[in-house]
Amino acid sequence: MPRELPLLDALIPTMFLAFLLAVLLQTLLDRLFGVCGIYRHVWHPPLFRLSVFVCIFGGCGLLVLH
Amino acid sequence: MVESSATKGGSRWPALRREIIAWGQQHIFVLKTPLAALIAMLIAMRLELDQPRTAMITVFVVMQPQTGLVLAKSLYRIAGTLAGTFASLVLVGQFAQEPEMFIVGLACWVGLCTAGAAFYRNFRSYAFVLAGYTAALIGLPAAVQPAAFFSLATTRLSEIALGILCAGICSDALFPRRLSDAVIRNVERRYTDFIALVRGALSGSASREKLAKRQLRLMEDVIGLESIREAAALDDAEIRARDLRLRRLNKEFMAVSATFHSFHQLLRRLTENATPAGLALGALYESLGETLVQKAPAPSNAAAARQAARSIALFRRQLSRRVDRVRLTVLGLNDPRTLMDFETAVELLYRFVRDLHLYTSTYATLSGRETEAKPPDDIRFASRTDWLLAFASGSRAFLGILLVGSFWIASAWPYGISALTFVTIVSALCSSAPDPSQTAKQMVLGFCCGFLPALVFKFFMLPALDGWLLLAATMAPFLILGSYLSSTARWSGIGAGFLVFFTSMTSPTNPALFDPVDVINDGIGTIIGVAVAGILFATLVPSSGAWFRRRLARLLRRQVVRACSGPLEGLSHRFESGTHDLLHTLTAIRKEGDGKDASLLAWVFPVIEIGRAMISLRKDAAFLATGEPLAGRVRESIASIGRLFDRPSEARRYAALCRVTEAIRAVSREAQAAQGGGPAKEALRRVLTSLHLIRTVLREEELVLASASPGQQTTISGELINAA
Repeated sequence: MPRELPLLDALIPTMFLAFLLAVLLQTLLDRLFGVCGIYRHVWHPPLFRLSVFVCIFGGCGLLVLH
Repeated sequence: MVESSATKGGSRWPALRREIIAWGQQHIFVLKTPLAALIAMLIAMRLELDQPRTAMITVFVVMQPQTGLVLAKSLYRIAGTLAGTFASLVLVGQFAQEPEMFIVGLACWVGLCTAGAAFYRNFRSYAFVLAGYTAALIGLPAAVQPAAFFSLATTRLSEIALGILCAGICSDALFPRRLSDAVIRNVERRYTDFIALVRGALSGSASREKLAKRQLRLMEDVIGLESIREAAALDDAEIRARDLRLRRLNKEFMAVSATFHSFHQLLRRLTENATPAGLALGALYESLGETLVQKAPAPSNAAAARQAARSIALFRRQLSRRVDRVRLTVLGLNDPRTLMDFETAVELLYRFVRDLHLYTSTYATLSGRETEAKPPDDIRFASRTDWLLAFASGSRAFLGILLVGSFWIASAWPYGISALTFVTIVSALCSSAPDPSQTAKQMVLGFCCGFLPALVFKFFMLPALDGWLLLAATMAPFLILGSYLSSTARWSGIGAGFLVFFTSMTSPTNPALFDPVDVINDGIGTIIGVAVAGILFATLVPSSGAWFRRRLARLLRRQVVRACSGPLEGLSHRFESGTHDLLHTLTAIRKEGDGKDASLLAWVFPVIEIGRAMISLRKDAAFLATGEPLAGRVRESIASIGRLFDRPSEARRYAALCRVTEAIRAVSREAQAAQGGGPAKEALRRVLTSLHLIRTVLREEELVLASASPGQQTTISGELINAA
């Protein structure tokens, strides 16, 4: 994948798009976890949420930059 | 529960621990803000962005004590920032050659954003703040060198986004203050407070002023719960699952507190003058008192509330028998006036007990699982933010930018950019504060306080520092001081001003630049900008001024006009939430012991009483056929009340009183003619009750209702607060 994508002739870093994708995935996953009640078994939900996000974003980033 | 039993056992540790935890939770925020700012600075330096201070200032602008939902909040804010960037792109693209037009365009944009920030609450408000702030931050330097627009925009955008993310993550991941806890605590405290209020009123132990004050406080609290509920519902799955019930709880609370107020007022009027009806009601009143007062502590949790709900249900079942018994003695008096007073009070008592029962049972089931499938529509909170207040905020920002901008262009002042930038920042920060004028004054003071420390730091301490850690360690005390000030209710504006100005002056960069003349000039430019914004906010239609108070009073009265003529669907909840929202605005600008506020507050109770009575009157009168003369009478009385509240005067009050009395006569004739029971007679009786209640308030609150001019009001207000 290229490092930057042209959007209306402005170069946008592909990582930014990966970030948006990660936000979307995380939101969906968050809803799912909430419905399943997973957060009740987690010690620090915000930290857990942040870690999940970092994992997703890291994964997306690795795929993009591979 | 375990802890409370331990305290009884003699050990003082749990209590001490709780105190320490509460103190810690309050002060954690003081440390979190500087930490977020310093982390933003580190990252900005590592990424070699050219103004780390922008990221830091952004942290101060967006940091809030509430935690939760970091991603969604940040995205909202970043969307605002992007909007600001596009606005600056358009402005620079169109007017790069014409500075006058550029300034006008910028002023329009920032004015709009400031107005938006004042109009909306929570999330949206911040998006507007950032849209205005970014436009100034990018547009102004770019206007001077349009060729560099793109690189400038991307760096500023990255810095602002960095600041937003750092603030979000730090506030959420480090010792979060969970909103769900706040919601639960708020709900519990309010239930206990309300029961205490009812008990105080029933036992007559609390004085009248104290009761009125407590009731007002409870009512103001409604908006507080509404806003944290909204934020918590997005954040917390537990709260989201119970959202519907929390909303209903809020709605029922508003209903029960208003009914209680009407009931208590009426009863006070009746018993004070020792009327026969009042004496007859005494017995009923005491039996209600027994039900509520029987157990020593007020039910403070759901289980106790379930118990209380059961005893209230029992009381409801017995009530009609007791009422019948007392009614016999009242009938024996053979006085229609007394009978009507009695019937009204009984109807209100029924309503109060019904509302209290609903409220208590909802409260008792709060911890259970959600059972309702679909939310009914009428529990949406109707917000009544004043667009004129928002417009005033926007026009202040507009004028400020226009003034400083024209001075900048006319004098070719090299530091005009800093002045303009800070006009924008201060306007944005102030407009979302509850009392903009006061905050603006404090902020100017805070900026002035920051000048000397910033100079000392920049030229005596900074040159000796090496590396981020040392820099962070030396900056921290200053930032913590500012953050502490901004966390106190009294000095919050000063703290915010100090933080923003200190960071902007010291402007830590990598590599560090030292140019005393430039820094001092820049600082002076900044202070001039801030002062202009501060002066405009304090002088141009200040929110604590008389004009604004009069407008609030008019808005409050408009609530009744709406109750008289608005569509009936969901009207009562719209009326109550709107009134509470106005009350919240009122609280924000009110100072303790100010005579002017009393005249405004005097309006609150008549508005609530008449508005509610009006809504139930309209609901009950809906069955009357339109052609009937009776329906015409009732409609006339409704219209006359609407006219009175639209523009109060003694003549209109008198006219309304006459219309209502006529309607009462007509309805009672009709009720006597309708033999036997049946739903029609029942409805007529309820219509009569509402009309009678309205008439009582019209008579009682003669002084407020008749006075439209503010001069008169101030003399009256003292008595009215006593009367409330």
